[in-house]
Amino acid sequence: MQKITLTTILFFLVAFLFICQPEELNAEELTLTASQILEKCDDVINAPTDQDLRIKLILIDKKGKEKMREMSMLQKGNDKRMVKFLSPADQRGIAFLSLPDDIMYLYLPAFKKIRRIASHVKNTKFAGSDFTYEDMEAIRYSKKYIPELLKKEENHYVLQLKPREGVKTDYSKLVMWVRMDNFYPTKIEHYNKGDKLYKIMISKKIEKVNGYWISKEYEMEDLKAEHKTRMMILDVKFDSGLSDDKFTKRYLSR
Amino acid sequence: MNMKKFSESVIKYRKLIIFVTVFITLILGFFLKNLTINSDILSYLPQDDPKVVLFNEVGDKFGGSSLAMVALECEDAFNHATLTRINEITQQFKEMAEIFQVMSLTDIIDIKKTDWGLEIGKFIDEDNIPRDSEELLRLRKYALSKDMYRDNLISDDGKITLIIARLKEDADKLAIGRRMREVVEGTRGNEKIYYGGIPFQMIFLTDIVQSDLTMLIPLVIFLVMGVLLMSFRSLRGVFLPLSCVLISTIWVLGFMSLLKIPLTIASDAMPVLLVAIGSAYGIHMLSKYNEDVHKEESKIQDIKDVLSEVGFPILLTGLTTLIGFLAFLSSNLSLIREFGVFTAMGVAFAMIISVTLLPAVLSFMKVKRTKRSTKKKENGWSTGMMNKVGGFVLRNAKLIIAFCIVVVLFSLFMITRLSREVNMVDYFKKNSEIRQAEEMMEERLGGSIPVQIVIKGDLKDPFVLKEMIRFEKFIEAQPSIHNPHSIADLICEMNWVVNGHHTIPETRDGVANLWFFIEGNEILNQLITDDAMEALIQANLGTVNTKQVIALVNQVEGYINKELRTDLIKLRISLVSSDFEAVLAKERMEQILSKINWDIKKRGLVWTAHNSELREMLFTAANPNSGGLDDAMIDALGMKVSDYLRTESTDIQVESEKVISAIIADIGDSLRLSKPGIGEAKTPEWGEEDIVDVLKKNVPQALYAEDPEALDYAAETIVTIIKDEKNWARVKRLIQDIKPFLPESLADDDKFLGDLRDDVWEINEDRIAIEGSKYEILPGNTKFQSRTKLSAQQTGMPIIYNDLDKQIIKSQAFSLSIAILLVFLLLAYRLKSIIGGFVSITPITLTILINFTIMAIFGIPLDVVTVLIGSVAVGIGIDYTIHFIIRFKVEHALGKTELEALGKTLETTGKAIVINALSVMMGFLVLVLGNIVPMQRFGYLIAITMIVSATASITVMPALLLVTRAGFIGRLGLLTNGLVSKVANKINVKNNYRKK
Repeated sequence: MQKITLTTILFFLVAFLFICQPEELNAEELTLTASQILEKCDDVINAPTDQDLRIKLILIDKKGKEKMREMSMLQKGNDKRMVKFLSPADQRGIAFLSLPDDIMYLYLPAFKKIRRIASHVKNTKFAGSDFTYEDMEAIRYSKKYIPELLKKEENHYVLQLKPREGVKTDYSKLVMWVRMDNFYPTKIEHYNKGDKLYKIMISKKIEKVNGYWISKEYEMEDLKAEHKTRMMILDVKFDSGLSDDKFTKRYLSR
Repeated sequence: MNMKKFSESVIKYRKLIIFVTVFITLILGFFLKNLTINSDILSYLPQDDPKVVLFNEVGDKFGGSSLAMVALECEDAFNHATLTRINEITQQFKEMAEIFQVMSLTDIIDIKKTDWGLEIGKFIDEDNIPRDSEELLRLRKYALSKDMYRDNLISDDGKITLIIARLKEDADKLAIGRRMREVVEGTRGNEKIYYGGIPFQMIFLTDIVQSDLTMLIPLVIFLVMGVLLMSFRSLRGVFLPLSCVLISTIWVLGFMSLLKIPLTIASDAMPVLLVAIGSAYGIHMLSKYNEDVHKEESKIQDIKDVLSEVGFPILLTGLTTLIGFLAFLSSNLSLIREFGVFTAMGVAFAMIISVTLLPAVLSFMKVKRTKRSTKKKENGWSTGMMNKVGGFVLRNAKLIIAFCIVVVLFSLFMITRLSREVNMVDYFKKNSEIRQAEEMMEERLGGSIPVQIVIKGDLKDPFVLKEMIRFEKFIEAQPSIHNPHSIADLICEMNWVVNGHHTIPETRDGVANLWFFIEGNEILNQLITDDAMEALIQANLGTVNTKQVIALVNQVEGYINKELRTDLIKLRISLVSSDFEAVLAKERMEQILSKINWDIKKRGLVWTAHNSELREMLFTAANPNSGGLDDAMIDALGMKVSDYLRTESTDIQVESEKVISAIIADIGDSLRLSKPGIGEAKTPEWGEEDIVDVLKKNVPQALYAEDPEALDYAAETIVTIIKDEKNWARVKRLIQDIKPFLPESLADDDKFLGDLRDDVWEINEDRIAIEGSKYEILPGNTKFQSRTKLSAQQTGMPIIYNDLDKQIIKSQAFSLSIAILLVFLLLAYRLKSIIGGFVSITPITLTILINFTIMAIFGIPLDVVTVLIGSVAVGIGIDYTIHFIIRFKVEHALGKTELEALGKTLETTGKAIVINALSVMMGFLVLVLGNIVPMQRFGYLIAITMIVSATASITVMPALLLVTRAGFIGRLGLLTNGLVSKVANKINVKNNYRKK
């Protein structure tokens, strides 16, 4: 009897510890500052050292008509990127290379010419999508924005991000929903300079691949233009040791 | 209708009549406050008209056909404060949900070639508006050098700049226009502001209509009161007829408001019109009452008698007036139909109220004694005048008729010279704000009216785009049309940035590659549909003159029907037989030639004298072997190849000077001109394999051992470089050859030489398109690569104006003929004589012809309001004839000779006609004080028409009666006499008449 009691107590004690542990963690999280949350979020998004993706873009106009684009994307760190278009057929081979310090090169296969393009105009839409060049930047949110914790919703922190002084952006603020469990952002509202909500990005299919969290489907909606873009990650490889050679002008045409 | 019975009932139900009238007036009066004004010119047209449907469709697809423009004028628009203000306004406009798109200096796509590459972005960064004066100067220079901006967003002196907003199709243009004005007025600055475009024109028009109504209605009421006071000299004499017209006006306007039918630029004249012409019925009623009702005791019976006596003439004259207005129902223009229906309704109300309410009210009023002494005096004066008129008519009956014939012939000639005006800007006075804004834009910025052409076809097909460029060149060569632009221009612009010539790329891939740059750019929304199967060519129309607008519409229509190539067979010259090649080359020559000719014509010059020489030169240049290079060109080519081999992006990095020189020597030598000046090279084409061989020969193997493919990639690039150089050489040489033949002013005009370069660039291309119909008649035409089709349709305001113009002519012709025909039928029936019918409509027909003649002589155009004059004149003016004929018949029936009867008629009815015409004329002249130009024209023209019509009724009419001896009047004594005795007799009678 006593033995049983002891075992029971022991059991309960262990059980209690087990149950308590996450509780304690939660308690710790509660004290996380907005900046810490954003830092963690940045860490999660930028975790892989390199990425090799195949992406499908579906552009959906207000009448529901769809247009497809397929491309491959190589990324190393968060400042080197090579994007190549695979479809549509007449744009196949168009490639562009982004290098540190806002240097961008574009290759036009029809003319076999490489042109450097200015990248300071970041509110230009990327390939007809609702993502602008700014949205595609792999810059850390915490470098660009000052976060403020607005509230906690079911499993989510809701952060408001306001641009830091001197940062050039097309947005007056972002409101970002960050998952409590893995700090992956699930939804970002973009406000324009008139402080009106004008674009919403939603991350769907958040999965763990090779130990990294990734959203395999994004959707960006432009509310005024009533236009939507779905970005689907068809294939993904992380940390495959991409060499710097892959990020050169010479490689643009190959 | 039995008038007796009718008057019995009026008296029987007099209380009910008064009660019901007051009740209806109160209710409809309550609705008056909801009455709105519609100044949207497009809504006047039939909405199922294909032109209107297309216009709306284009607005829907390309984001609004309504442009609202704000112009800022200052010493130099390129200063920080002005640009900041432009940005502020632009940003606020962009926030408005009803605005589809805004374009201004601070929000416009810029495709720029830079030292190191290219830049696609905004002309001015809205977040970083420059302050530095040097930077501002640079921007100014740049803007003025670009076709896309100069004369479009900025005047060529840099002083006036535009903010252009496209309104969504379903937007309430009036409301949004007002809010836009508020936004602009809410920003600070010293710039002078102008507002242009249909939405702002609508605001001005609506405001003017409103202010005119509030000014003119009291004025005409006041005037009519004066006339009534003079003729009746009693309060009831003023207020009873007046209340009849006021009540009927309230009823009509209330009714319109209840049916949610807004007032238009035409129907806003209605209140003034109703007061001016509707009072006649009440006046008739009251004067007869004054004449016949003298005793309180027999009042009720007397009123019944008066009513049954005047009821019929009132109804008959009312009916003809109704016919005049109802004839407008035949029009396709809603504003004319509405004007007709509601004015007719108003006239009917005025008529009904005059024979119901008026006697009912009178029956409750005390009988007043009226002095009639004054009338005798007047009689004396006016009888004298009428006698003179009578004498003149009798003496000169034939002369009058002859004069009439001359007038008719002259009028018929003048009518062909009648001008038309449908442009809204013409509605405003010359010194009005909106008119000045429009004129400024016309002069300095190429106009505010967009001309639009919808192109349907595969827009990624280079040949479709090339047809668009050709079309644009044609358009720009037409007078007073500026700045055509389309997706094709953007593609050219990008090609210029990438490849250095402003042309459509030869291949579809080339187009698609350039397209990639602007994919998703918001400017595309106004240029193409999402599926890239429809595009818009837009240009500005620099004239508001309807005649010019119509000429232009027809020019463009002619181009679409005859010049535009809509069915294209795509071929490659290198793949066809040599016979075919010659045909294709000829086709190309003609295409290039027409482009060059348009480019010259656009600059106001004519140059066709040298077309045959030019053909020859083009033909030589187009020879694929003609791309030989001279020494300087070989050097340039060498530099490029060397540059390529040295840069980091090269496929094989060659450092050795020696190796590079060897490669260049191998390539260059074969490209050298065989004989200087002839332009033929020894080896026409370098293939990739040849280059690989050259590279293998010269480049140490170690450099590509690791990456054997590198040679192929390098060869590919070098071939491209060579081809480019050859193309440039060919084009440059051709331009040099053409130069001596050019008009002097163009030979050194860089802009023109640029155009020339782009026009002739095609000679380098292998791909060509030939029209299906031409292709089919060629022998051996079986194989072709592929085919593309396109179509074009004209839309935009000019074609709407053109449509409106046609509708106005149609409305004029229809409504007028219907009015005259119906009046003729009515009178012929009443007089039981066809000749009688003809005689009666002669004065009014003459009046209308004179009206048109006056309009033609003084250049007064037919517009949506002056088009109403004809039928209105018939409706009102015919009354004079009716009165005259009825009186004449009555007098003649009393046994008088026709001359005596004529004298008596002139003395009584003739005088009444003149007085009536004068008072109606005064009423209409009130409109001249308004601010809407067509309304002013309407006012004075109707006034003139009244006088002419009255004059014709008392001169031409009797002359006609005398000359025709019209049997319908009754049995005329002199009918059987011979011509000689007729004349003799007449002279006798005239003498007798004079003695009297």
